[in-house]
Amino acid sequence: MHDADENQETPIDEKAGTIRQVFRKGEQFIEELLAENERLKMRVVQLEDELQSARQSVPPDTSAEKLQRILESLKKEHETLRRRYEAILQDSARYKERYQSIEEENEKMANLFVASYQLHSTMDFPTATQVVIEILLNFVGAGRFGIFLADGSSPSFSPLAAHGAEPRDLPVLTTDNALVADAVSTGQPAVRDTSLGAPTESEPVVCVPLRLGQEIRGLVAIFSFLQQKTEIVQLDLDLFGLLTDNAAGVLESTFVLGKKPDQFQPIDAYRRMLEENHA
Amino acid sequence: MRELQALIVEDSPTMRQLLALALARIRGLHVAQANDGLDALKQLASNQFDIILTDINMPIMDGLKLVKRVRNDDRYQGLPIVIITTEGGEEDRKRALALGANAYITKPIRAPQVIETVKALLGLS
Repeated sequence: MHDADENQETPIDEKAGTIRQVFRKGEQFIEELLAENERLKMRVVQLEDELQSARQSVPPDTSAEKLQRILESLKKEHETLRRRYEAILQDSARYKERYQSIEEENEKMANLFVASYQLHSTMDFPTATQVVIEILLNFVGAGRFGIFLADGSSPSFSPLAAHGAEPRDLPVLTTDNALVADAVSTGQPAVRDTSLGAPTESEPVVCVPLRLGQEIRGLVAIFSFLQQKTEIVQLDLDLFGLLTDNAAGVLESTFVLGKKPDQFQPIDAYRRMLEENHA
Repeated sequence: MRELQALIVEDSPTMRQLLALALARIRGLHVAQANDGLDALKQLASNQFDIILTDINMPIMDGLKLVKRVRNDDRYQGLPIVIITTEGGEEDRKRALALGANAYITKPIRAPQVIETVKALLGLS
């Protein structure tokens, strides 16, 4: 099923292509500016050499006044070039900073695009669960974590799937835990305050609510990160946000579809539903 | 001039797509994908690749077996191989490097790291 999906050019692929083109043009523009900077540097050196040789080539019988004028003129030209060179250096630094910022944005968009694409490209519940795990492992660098679903009417969340541990070895999470309570009450990912010290093995360091509309249908709880993952960056927060807004819907719809594969109805059924909605 | 070709060997479609997007930013580099080691060997037999990026844990034929098979084939002696590992894969990483892999990338995957590693191995500026 995936192979077939991957071989088709989707509107999302086209948008990704367009985004890549925009960034490539940005890269080319910056490269051209850097080349211009190099060219001007060379020109300054060249003019300094010319000034030196002009000084040496002045005939000995030229009047002091004339020499003074030439000297003043060359000094002015030198000063103009020096200012221009400094302005270009400043521009170059600004463009370098901008380039790095574009690079970061590019990486963020690529990660969010792939995560979103994969999350929404399956109609199979186990695959959808695996995609959530892969996003957390490969994109975020989470080491020990689980996907938890709400336990009916009770305000607790039980482990459904996990990485780095067996689901049965993970605790049932309740709003007695401050981080869980924070995520559930705000509907936004919550990150443990480092000033609270090291968490116990059963305390999450990140809690990502999985929302369906305004309802919290589950959580992703991260208990530890991979060793090389030293900090939570903006990209991680963006990925947590993507899971908050999308994962519950994907998990529930794929589950329902798996339970009732004959759920797809003739188009008339869809039309009737739209008409009933408009009525 | 012939276009450079990279082969991504990964069983996870998510990882394949992420790596392919990162490599697409290297100008002149065409990217092909394989689901596992066996699929990679089939593609190697019919295409000329300039670099392989492979995961270690895969069904059918894992990354370690792939590295061994590639290095034991005279045709691919100089073909750079990059392995993708997790922190828990220290032993696998050492084994892969001992078998002849040229470099490794650790998860989480970051595009600049992938691009830098591949460019260095391909001798691109």
